[in-house]
Amino acid sequence: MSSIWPLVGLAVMVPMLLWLRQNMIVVLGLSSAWLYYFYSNGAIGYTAIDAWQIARNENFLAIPLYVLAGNVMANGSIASRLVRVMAALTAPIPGGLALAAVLSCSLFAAISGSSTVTMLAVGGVLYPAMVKAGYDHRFSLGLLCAAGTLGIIIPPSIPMILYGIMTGVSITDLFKAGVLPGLFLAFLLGVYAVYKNRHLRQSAAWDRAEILASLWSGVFAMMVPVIIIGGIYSGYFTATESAVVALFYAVLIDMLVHRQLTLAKLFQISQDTIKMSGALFPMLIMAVSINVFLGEKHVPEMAAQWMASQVSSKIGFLIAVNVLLLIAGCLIDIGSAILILAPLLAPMASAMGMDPIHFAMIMLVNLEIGYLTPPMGLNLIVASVAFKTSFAECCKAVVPFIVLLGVGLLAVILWPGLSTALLK
Amino acid sequence: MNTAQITLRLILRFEQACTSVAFLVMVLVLGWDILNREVLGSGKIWATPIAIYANVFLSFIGIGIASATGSHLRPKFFDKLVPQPLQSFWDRLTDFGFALFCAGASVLCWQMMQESIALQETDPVLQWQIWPFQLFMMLAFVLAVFRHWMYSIWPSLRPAPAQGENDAPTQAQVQAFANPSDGDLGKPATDTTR
Repeated sequence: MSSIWPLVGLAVMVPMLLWLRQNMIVVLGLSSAWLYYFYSNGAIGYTAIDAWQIARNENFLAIPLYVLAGNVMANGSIASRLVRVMAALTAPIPGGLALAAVLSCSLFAAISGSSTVTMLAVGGVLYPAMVKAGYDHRFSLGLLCAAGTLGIIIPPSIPMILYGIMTGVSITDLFKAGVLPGLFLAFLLGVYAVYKNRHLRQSAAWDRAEILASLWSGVFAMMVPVIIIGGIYSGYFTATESAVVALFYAVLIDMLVHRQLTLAKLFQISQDTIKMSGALFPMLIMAVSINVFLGEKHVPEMAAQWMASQVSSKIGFLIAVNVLLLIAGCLIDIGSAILILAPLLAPMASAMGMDPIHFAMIMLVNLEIGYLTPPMGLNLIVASVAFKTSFAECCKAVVPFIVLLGVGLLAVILWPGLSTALLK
Repeated sequence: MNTAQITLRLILRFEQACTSVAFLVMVLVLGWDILNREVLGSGKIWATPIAIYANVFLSFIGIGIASATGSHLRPKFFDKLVPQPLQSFWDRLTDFGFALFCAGASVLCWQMMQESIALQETDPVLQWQIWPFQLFMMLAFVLAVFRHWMYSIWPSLRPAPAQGENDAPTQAQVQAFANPSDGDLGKPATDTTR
């Protein structure tokens, strides 16, 4: 890196492109070309060569496969069957339906790799049911928005795959590491849901017939998380293979057993997935290309050294990083935040002596909170449209849950074993 | 404008058909590999490379589908800096800018493909020449140039922007939301404080 002026030019160009409403492919692609032009003797063609080499990364296969599997399951009846099981099991517990919402989101998160899909799949069934059953409208809204975010932490998770690709951390290890923090966050949400609604209960006792009927109707749906997480945890499948198996299983179950999926619907769902792939994949390639360039120029190491010279303690580093990530979560979507920040922050964390998996979980829980923080909190935006309520109402509804997730984040930071226990 | 509209629709159909086949190939070869490994004890070495090329193909051709549905990811925090009277002009400028970027990308892809042909580059596992796949990469950008150039000329052809996030719900999921089937879950709960 001989001169600072091209970097100044880059810092001017990026906001200009955003002002011109260019999408992230253009912003990252031009940034990559700009860096190669100024710092690799004008060899702009390396951008395309890099893109081609990166595109052949096997890990990319997992993304469309998990997205398609999640979409198939969200469009079929798997979500409503899971909800029925959870509602039957929690009926006599005070605040049972709210607890069922948290448990259903946790279970569905172990099927779908997406936060919003989790919120919509479970919320589509439970939101009207909770309001009808007398649960506070604002509480129901906030709970479903917050419980939906578990989709990011409980594996499989698309943001975890992105993180693995950008930092080189094993995706399988990230999946294993996400289980306990995800369950802990679900526990916090569940305890709060029960406490807040302790005066509401669906029935006086367990209805054995309904429990058996719901379990019978939901047995195939409940096998999905077992196949995905069990397959990965036992070492039987890689993350990508597990996605393939989950996809075949979901299509077969929804077509042949539940009879909710037609070929036309499958085509529509696959087109939605391809659309997502077309938006995400080129952007990801451009981001990795910048990452490769920065790696060749030893920028992450230099940044880590600079950080070490500025912040002497691990606590100082963690405070700075958490503030940065919480602000980033408010302003940009999780995918962009991971693509931009993960390659820079992960080496700094390693230089500070942090476990890479532990740091990944800290980053992901931070960005999970970003789903609930205005102005760009995706769950807020989607919930306001889907639940037909104002954005401001959604923002107010999630405040207590942001505090709860903040407590969860603190636990993840202070208790590394929560993230690493299942790896040992 | 009608001709442009019809042409864009035909291009979209072509992209949808091609990418659906590629997706099917990707899923089937990976499934076949796992099935062989579990049943016969030996996987298919060609499965993963074929799936990777299918994924590259569908993702690059998918750029056009993402464009046609307004699904490209874009941070929107500078949007309010554009004055209202300039909005329409700005939209045209945006599409023209993206078309220009894609034109540059297709030139770079063309150069890369020429090099691959000259060097007779092949995939190490499949032993296939790789330039046809690079050609598809270039084709994807050329189609994007055409599409966004059309949008910049006739902004009414431009799709309404989607949620703009990789995690955004699909159309079908939003529709499912409007017609929930909650069964008897919604029966009023007993308020135990009464």
